[in-house]
Amino acid sequence: MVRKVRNDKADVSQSLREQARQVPGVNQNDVTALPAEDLKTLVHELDFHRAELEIQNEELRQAQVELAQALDRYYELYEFSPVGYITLNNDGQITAANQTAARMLGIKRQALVGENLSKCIAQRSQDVFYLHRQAVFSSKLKQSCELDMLKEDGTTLSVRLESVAFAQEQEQQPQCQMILVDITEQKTAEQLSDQHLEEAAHLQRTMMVNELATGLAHELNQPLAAIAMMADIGEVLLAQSPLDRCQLQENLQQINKQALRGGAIIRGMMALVKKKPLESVALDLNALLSTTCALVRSKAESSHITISLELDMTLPPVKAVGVYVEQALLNLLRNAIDAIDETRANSGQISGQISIESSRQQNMARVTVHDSGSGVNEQVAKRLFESFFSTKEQGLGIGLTISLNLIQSLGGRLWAEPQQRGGVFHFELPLAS
Amino acid sequence: MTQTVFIVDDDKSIREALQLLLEIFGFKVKAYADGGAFVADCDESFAGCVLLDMAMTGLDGAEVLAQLAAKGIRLPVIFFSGHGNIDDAMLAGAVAFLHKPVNKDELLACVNKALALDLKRRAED
Repeated sequence: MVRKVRNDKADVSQSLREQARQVPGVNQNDVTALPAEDLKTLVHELDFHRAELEIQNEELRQAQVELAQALDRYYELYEFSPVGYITLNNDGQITAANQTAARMLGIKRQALVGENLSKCIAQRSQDVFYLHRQAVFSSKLKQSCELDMLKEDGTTLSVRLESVAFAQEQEQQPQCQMILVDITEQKTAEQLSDQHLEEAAHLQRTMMVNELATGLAHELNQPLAAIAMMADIGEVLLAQSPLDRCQLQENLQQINKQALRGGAIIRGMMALVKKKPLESVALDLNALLSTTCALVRSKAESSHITISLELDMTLPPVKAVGVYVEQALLNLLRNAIDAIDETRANSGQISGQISIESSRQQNMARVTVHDSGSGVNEQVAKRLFESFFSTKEQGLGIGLTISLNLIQSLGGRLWAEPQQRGGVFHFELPLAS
Repeated sequence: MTQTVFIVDDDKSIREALQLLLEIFGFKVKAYADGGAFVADCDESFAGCVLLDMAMTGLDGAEVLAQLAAKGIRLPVIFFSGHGNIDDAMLAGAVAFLHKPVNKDELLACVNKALALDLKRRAED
C-alpha cells in the first residue's frame, strides 16, 4: 500500500495541474508588465511557496501511509481478536461479525452475516437470550449474560455475551455490539468442582460416622473386657469350696458397675451425636431448590438425566434450617438418579428426567420431586421410611429416614406417592409468616 | 526364682479384673497404671512376662516396648488391645497379641507360653 502512494505521485500532480487551470483568475495576471525588481521578488516568493507545498505534500503522504497502517492493524485486531465480535440490528439480525465469532460457531462468516443470531442459540438458552437483547436495547448500558450456543455441527458451547447498544446517528436504528467469550472450559471445570464438592461432603459424612464408630468401639471394649474377665473369675470362684460368698458378691457388683459404665459411654456418645438443633429462619425456598439442584446437576448430566425446576415464584419464604432442607432434597435427588439408572439398566431407555416443583398449599410450601424411574408400589411406599429398608442393592436404607427426621424436625412432612409411572416424593414446610 | 506377670494398663477396672483373674489361677501379679512407672521400675532382676496395653495415655504400648529394649530388658511382652490392627513392626518385639475382651483360656495359654520363654532365655544367658 505504501509503494502504491509513491507511484501515484506523478499522476496526482498532473491531475492537480489540470484542476488548477480550471480555477477562475489563474493565468490572468500579466507579469510581463512588472518591473524586473518586483519580478525577482515574485519568483523568490514562489520558490518559497513551492518548497512549503512540497513539505506539506510529503507530510500528507506520510499521514496517508500511517493511516493505511493503522487500518491494517485495526483490521487484524478486529478479525483475529481472542473474543468474537458480532453486530446486531434491532431485529436481531447479524450485520457484522469477525473471524473469531465465525470460528467459534464453526460457520463461514459469509453464512453468519445476515442470519438471525437467535438461530445460533441453544433451545435451553433462548429465554436468557431474549431477555438479554431486551435489556440491551432498552437500557443502553452494557449487559452481560451466560448462555449455550449451537455450533454448525450441532454441538454446543458455553458463551459469555457482553453487549451494548449504540446508534451512530440520531435518526439511525440502534445497533448492538456484542463480545462473545468462549467459557466452555471454565463451565466444565465448574461442573467438575461442584461434583467434587458434593462427593467430598458425602465422604466427610461417611468418615465422621467411621470415626464415631471407632471411638465407640474402643470405649465400649474396656468395660466389656472387664465384664468378661469378671465372669471368668466368678466361674472359678463358684467352683471353689468353701464358697467365698463375699468375694462372689463383690465380683457381681463389679460386673454391674462395668455394665453401667458401658451404658454411660453410649449415652455420652448419643448426646455428642445429637447436636443442638439449628435455629429455623425465614428462607427463600425457590433459591434453596436452585442451589441444591446445581450441586447434583453435573452428576445427573453425566447420567444423561435432565433436571428441570418448575418454581412458583410467588411462594412466600418458609421457616426452616437451610442445611436440613438441602440434605433432605439431596437424598431425594440422589435416590431419583439411582432409580432412573436402575430402570434404564432394565429397560434400555436412554435419557431420564427429574422435575422439582414448588407450590403453595394453604400455610405450607410443597416441594415435589418427580423422576422417570420405575416408581414405587404401595407396599414399598409404606416401608420406604423405615431404617435399613432399601430397594437398592448397595443401599444402606438410611437416606430417607434421615430426610424424614430432618423435615419433621422443621414441623413439616415428607411422603412418597405410590405411582405406576415414575417416582413421586413430596415434602412440605411451614411458611415463615 | 519366682516369675511375676506384670500388668501395664491405664484402665483401673481392666487392671483389677486382670490381676484378680490371674491371681485366682495362681500367678504372682504386679500391676502398673502407666508405662513410664513400669519402665522406671523395671531392671535385670525382673523375671516373668509383661501384659502391655497398647493404647494408653502417656507412654503407649509401642513406646514402652522400645524403652524396655533400650534398657536391655528382654522380658517377653504380650500386647493387649481393643484395636484390631497391629503392624508387623509392633509385633516384632512382642510374643503375642490379645484382643479385648479376651478369652480366659487364650489368656492363660499365652501367659504360660511367655513365662516358659522367659525361663528358657534365662537358662541360655
